Amino acid sequence: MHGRRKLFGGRKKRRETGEMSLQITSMADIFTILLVFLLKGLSSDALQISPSNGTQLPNGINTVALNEPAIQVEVSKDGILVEKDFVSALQDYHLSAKEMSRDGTIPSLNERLDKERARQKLIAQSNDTVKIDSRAIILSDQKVPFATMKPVLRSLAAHGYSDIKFAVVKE
Amino acid sequence: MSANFGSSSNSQEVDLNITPIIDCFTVLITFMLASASFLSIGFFDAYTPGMSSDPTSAPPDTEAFVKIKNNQTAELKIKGRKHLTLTFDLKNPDSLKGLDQEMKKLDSEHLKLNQVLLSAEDDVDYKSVADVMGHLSQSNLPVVVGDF
Repeated sequence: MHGRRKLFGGRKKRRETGEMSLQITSMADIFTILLVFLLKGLSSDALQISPSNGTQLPNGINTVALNEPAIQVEVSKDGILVEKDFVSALQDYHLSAKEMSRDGTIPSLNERLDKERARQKLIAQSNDTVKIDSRAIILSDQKVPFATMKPVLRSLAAHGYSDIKFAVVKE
Repeated sequence: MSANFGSSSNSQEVDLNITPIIDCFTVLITFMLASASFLSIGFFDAYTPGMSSDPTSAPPDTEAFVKIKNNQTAELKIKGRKHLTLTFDLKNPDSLKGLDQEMKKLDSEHLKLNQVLLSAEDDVDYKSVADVMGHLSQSNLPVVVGDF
């Protein structure tokens, strides 16, 4: 009774003062559902793979999911990146002759992959559960010509990265 | 928002101020929407030359090559126990369905085929390579990408 009296009193007061009350209980419900949904999406997407700005992955069918992390090599319009670090320059998707060695690999990429391998070996020495990884993820722009892909693949193969995952946008 | 505690005769009304909670939620949701990735990324499994075949497996009696050409066609060559050369137009989805069917057929013919070798001419873009890889994955054969 007390509550009802207060409610009516409140209304009367609002009418007098022209004050409006916003019903935010339903809004709180919507926000809670949205938050739970976004948190769930965030936790299931444990492997954060996103190409840099400007890199457009091609669309692909019959793709598979990636369950474990691997070294990320990105080939964009202006350069080759390993784990988001700039490694080698490209001129409009093309490698210049000075960026390539005689064996068809890319010396600057080799250097970076050597470092990654050394780091993995160091961890593997002290931790038996860590093994030398043969997987690599390639995030390549859809306009990259095969002539640029070949030396990247050669460099990866030369460093024992034989299991390659080509990233595409799921259709 | 209010809640009643105790019996109706001796009720105590407690007001819960949910405005700061809403504020927190708004900031959290904005942050999450900004950081969320709406692109769904998938992957094609492939191997580099010389590393894919299992040394304990029987030597193959058939070999399959796919070469993507500058004129937006893909040539499938099968050598060994079965001989076949087919060309598919990458611009024509119906033509690419033919590649799907050929790959499925290869899978069902019980040939000793360990892998499919995929190569492309220098000017072929990655989009075309990804297109063909999608169709090659119809078979369960490992795809080896390289310069063949």
